[in-house]
Amino acid sequence: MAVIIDRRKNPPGKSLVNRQRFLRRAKEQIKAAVRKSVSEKQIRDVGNGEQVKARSKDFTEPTFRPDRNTGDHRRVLPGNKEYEPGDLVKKPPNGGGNTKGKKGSAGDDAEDDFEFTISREEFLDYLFEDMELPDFIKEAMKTIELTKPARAGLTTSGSPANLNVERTFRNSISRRIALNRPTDERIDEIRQELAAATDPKLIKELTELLEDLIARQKRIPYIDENDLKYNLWTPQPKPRSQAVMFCLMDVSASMGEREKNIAKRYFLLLYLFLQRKYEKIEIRFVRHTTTAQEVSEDEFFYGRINGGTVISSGLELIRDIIADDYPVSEWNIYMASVSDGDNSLHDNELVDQIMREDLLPIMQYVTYVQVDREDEDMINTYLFTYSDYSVWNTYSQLSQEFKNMECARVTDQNQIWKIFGELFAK
Amino acid sequence: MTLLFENADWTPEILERIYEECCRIGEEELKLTWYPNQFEIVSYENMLDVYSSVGMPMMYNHWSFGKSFINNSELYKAGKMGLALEMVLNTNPCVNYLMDENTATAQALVIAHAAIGHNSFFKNNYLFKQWTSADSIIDYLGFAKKYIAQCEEQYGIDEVEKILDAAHSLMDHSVDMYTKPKILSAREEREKQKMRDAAHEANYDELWSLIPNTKRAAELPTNRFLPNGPEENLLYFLEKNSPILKSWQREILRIVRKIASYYRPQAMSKTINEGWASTCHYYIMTRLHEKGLIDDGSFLEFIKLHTSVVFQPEYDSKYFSGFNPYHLGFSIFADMKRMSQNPTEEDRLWFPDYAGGNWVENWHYMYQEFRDDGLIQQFLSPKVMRDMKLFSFDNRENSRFYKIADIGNESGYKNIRNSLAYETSIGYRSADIQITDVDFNTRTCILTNFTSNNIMLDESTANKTLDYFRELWGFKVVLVTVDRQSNFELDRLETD
Repeated sequence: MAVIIDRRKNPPGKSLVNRQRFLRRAKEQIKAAVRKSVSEKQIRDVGNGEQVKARSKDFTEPTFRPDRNTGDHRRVLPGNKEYEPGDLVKKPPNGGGNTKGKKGSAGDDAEDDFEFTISREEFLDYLFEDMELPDFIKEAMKTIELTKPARAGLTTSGSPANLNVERTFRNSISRRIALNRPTDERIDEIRQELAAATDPKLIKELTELLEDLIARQKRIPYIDENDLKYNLWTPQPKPRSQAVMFCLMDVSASMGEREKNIAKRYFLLLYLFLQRKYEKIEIRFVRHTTTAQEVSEDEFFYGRINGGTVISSGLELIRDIIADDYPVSEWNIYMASVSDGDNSLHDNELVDQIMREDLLPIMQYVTYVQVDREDEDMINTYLFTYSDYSVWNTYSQLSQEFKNMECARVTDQNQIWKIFGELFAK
Repeated sequence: MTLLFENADWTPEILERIYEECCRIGEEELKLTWYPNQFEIVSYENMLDVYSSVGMPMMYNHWSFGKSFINNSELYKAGKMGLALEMVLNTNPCVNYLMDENTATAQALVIAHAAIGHNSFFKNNYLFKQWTSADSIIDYLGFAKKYIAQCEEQYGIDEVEKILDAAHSLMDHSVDMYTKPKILSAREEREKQKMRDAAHEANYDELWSLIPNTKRAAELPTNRFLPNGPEENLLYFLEKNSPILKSWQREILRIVRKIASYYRPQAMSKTINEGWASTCHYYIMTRLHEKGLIDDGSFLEFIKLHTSVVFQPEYDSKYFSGFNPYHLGFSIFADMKRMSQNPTEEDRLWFPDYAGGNWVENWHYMYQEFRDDGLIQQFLSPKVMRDMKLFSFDNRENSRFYKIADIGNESGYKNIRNSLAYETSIGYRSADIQITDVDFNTRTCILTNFTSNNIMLDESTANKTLDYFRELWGFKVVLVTVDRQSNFELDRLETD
C-alpha cells in the first residue's frame, strides 16, 4: 500500500534560510546593485525586480579535481562517422567550443557568473540599510496596506458562516422539482387517504405508493452538496485616494553630482512612502534656475543648464500646475524641494509669500532639503547660510509656523530620513 | 481490463491504482523487491526546495544550498531548465517526489521509474547495501541539522560557515574507499558526541597548557611518520588529528564526511542506476499497455517522454554533452534481454554465460552486483557499441592532433569497452589524494596526489582547497603531485 502525501499546500520556502545565507554572502554586490539602481533607474521603477549580478569568484566551492586539459587521455565518444584507427584529427584552438577537446569538463560544474533577482522587500532592506534609516521608518515603509473583505460572487465551498441560504435553497428547490422529489405534504396526503381507506386493494396500492414515495424522498436529499452556495469574499485594498508629488530642484551650476544623488534618494524615499499610502501617484518634476520649467525625469536629474537661482519661479510654476491639473478636493498634494540654499537677493520675500499664502494651505506635507557642501569650510558656510542670499532662514521660519512643513540640512545621504521623521511618526 | 485513467488528469485514487498495477508487474514478472514507497505530491516551488537541499527532505543550512536554489529558480523561471518529473531518495521508506504538473501518463512513468526501478536498485545493489543505511539517514540528518543549528547559536553563523565551507571542499576526498562504513544511528551519534565532549572536559587540565612548547618539540623524534600509514579520508584525518580544532568543529567535519559517504554510491552508479530505472519503466509501461490498462494515446505520450529521456546526441552534435547515462545503461540492459531471448552467433561468443539464458535472472545479476565501470566492462556488447558508433581516441597534451585509437570493429570492441569502463570509474574521474606525511617539528602536513599520464590538478581550485585544508589543520600544508608509476614529483603546491 502506497502512502501518498500532498505537499502542495506546504508553503514553499524551505530554502528561504539558505537563500538568506546566500544573500548575506552577496551583500556587497547587492548593495552595489541597489546603489546603481537608485542612481540609474527612474524613481517609479526602482526596486521592481532588481537584477543582481553575483561574481562567481566569491561563491566558488573549490575541490581537488583533475584538470582535463593536462596529461594524456584516451576517451570514448558516440557517433563515429568516417574515422579509421590511426586517423589524425586537428585539435580545435583553445580546446574549442563544444567539441572533443572540452568534453572532459562536461559534467564538471562550470562556474559562471550568475544573475538573480531580489524581491522588492529585500531591495528596500538593503536600500534602507544603506541610508541608515531608523527602525520605525523601516517598519512603516514595509507595512502592508490594510485590506477589507469585499463580496466577489459565489463559490461552492466555504465556511458555514458564509453560506448563502437564498441561493442554496434556490438550487435545492429546482433540483427537487427536476427530480420529482415527493413533498412532505404529498406523503401526508397519502397517509390520510390510507387511514381513511377501507378497500383492501386500495390499501395495498396506497401502502406501496407510500413506501415508494418515502424511499424516493430518502434517495433524493432535501439539500444536496451540489446545492450549497457560499458567499465569496476577497480581500480588497481599502479605497485609497490619489496623490501628486512635486519634485522641485534648483539645477543651477552650484548643484553638482553629489547633490543630485542625494536629491534623488530624497525624492525616492518620499515616493516609496506615498506608494504605500496612495493607489495612484503622479510625479511632476520642476526644475529652476532663474526661470522654472517642467521636465521629464531624465532631464530633471541629468540635464544641465546654467544660470542663477530664483526659487520663487519654481514655486509659482507649481502653483499654476496645481491650479490647472489638480483640484485640491481630489488630490493629496506633496512637495519635496531641494537646493543648495543659494537664492537671489530679495527673492526670499516672494518665496515666503507664495509658500505662506498659496502652497502650504493646500498641501499635505512639504519638505525642503538643503544640501550643504562637504568641502566648504565652516566660516564660509556660516556667512553664506545666514546671509540674505540664503533661503534657509525663510524656510526654517515657515517650518516652525506650519505643522505640515519640515526642513533639514544635510551633507550626506544618510541624513535624509530625518526630514520624514514627522511623516512616519504618525 | 479497464483503463487506469482516461485523460491527463489524475487523482490520488488513480495514482494508487497505477502504483498497484506497477507493483503487480514488478513483483510477478520482474521478481523485484523494494522498500515501502511514500509519494509526495509537490509543486514546482517545493521541487526547487528539494533540488537545492541535495534531494534531502532535511538538511542543515548553508549558503551553497541557497546558491543552487537561486540558480535553479532563475533558470526555471527563465524557461531555460525543466524540472525533473520526479526525485527519489535512498531512504526506507523510499520517498518519491512527484510533480503535480505531470500528466497521468507521466506519473505512471515516474512511478515505474522511481518507485519500482530506483527503489529496487537502492535495496538490492551491493554498493548501496554496503555503503548506506537507508533506514537511518533521515534520522541522522535530523541530528546533523539540529547540531549545526545549535553550533550556530553558540558560536555564530560565521564561525560555523567557515568550517562548513572548508569541509565541503574536502568532502569528495573524505570517504573510506576500502572499509565499509558503520551503519549510522542518530541516537548513537548523539551519545557518542556527548561522550566525546564529556571526555574532553574530564581530561582538560590547565597544567598541560603550561608545559612549554619548545621543550616538547625538542623531545619529539625528528623523523616524520604516520602511525597508521597514509590516510585517504581527509576530513577523518583532520577530525582526529588537527592540532587546532575545537570539539564542535571536529563534530561538524564528522557530519560532513558521514554525508559524503552516503552520497558516494550515487556517484559510482549513475549509469547503472538510471539504466536500470529506465529499463523498469520501459518494461512496465509496455506491459500496462499490453494489458489494456493504458490506452494508445497515453502509450504514445510515454514513448515520446521515454525517447527524450534516453536520447543520446552524437559527439559532433550541438546537443552533445557527454554520455547520457540513461541511454547507455538502458541500451546495455535492453541488449541483455535481446541476447537472452534471441542470441546471435556473436552473442554466444561474447557472452557464453548469458546468451540464450533467462533474461530476468540476467537482469537481476546485472543490477545487483555491479557499479558503472563494472557494468560496462562486463556487459557492453558489440551490438550496442555498433549501434552507438563508439570510437576512442587519444588526446595527448603535447600533440596538436587527436589520434583515433579504435572504432567499433572486431579488433576495437574490447579496447573501447576497457577505455569506456576506465573513463567511467571513480579512479579516473577524481583525483587520488592522500595524507602521506606529517612533520612533527614544524607540524607541516604533506598531501600527495597520485596521478598517472601527467594529469594534473586544476590549479586554481586546488590552491583554494588547500587553503581550506590549512584552515582546518592550522599549520603549513604541502600538496605534492607524484606520478604513480615512477614516483617522480611533477608539481608542488604550498601554503604559508
